[in-house]
Amino acid sequence: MFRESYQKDNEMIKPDAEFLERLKETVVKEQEEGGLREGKSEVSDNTSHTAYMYRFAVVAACLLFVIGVVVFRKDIWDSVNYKDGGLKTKAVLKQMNKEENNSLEDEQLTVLKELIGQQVVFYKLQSANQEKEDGCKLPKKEAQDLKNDILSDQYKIVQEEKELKTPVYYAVWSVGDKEIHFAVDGDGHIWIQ
Amino acid sequence: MKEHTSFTMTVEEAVEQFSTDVFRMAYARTNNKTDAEDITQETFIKYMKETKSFEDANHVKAWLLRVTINQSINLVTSAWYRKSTAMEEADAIAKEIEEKSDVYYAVMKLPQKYKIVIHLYYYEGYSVQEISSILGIKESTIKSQLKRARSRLKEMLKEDIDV
Repeated sequence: MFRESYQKDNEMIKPDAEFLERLKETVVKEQEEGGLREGKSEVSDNTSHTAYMYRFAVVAACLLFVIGVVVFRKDIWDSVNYKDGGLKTKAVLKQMNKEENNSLEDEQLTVLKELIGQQVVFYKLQSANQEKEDGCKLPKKEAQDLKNDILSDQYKIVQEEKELKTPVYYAVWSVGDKEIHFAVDGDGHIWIQ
Repeated sequence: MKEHTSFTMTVEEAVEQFSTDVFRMAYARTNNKTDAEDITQETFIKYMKETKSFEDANHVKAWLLRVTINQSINLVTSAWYRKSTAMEEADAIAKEIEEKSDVYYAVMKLPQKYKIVIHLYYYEGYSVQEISSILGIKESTIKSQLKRARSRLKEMLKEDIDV
């Protein structure tokens, strides 16, 4: 009874003939202006495919960019450090160190590693007080081995104030307008002066 | 192996066959002729731009009704609609339904979600499973909505109407 009654009431609700005419005109006009469905047209499918491919390309490009940054420029993230409550890169820290009379504090080993491959000449020492002029310049291969050892963290930087007891090698290089001296002892320590 | 057949229905054919059903669904949702016309038009324009393939005419109809419901939900829940129709609605309903039965009047007073399932079940003749598919809601929810709607209708109609 309810169903019949409700259906009967709904049968009375009809869109105006005028509205239906207008609707037909509108869809025809929309189709002419670039609407898609006329049956299932080729235009429709191609447009959809193109739009889909375009969206896919944009998303893929964004994804590749992010992966590229994360994977290939990992050094960017690695080089970011916190200092004095703010984010500073090692480049900034190095500059700060230069401005602070070359006192290499936090990033000593890193800076050392960066510089050691380029400018440093090693001398072999005989005693603690021996000056570099008295040392014997290391042969190329031996110097390279020593550099490699330092680069592969075989040595540990220690306080510059401590006495150098068992010096083995000595080196000097320029940072800004100052010279940095360091020595490597037989216990696996790097001494910076 | 199920054979895939591609069904084709132009937008003109769809308007011809389903515009009344779409309009009635929109009207049941909005209680307003102008809004129902707007929703009907938007629905067929969406159909025209839709590129998915349909299985048959029933599939097209179900899709159109689903879009109609979504369109009407967007309209009914818009802030502008809520403000502008509060006063007009009462007059419009009274004017439109005066020649209709108490049943229709009672359905119009139901909450929106109940109106949709009642319309789809009693007017369109869809099963609970089909309504669930059209609305994307669990069958158990549809059943409980139908049950509550019937209960309210019985209460409103105050007679032993077979709902």
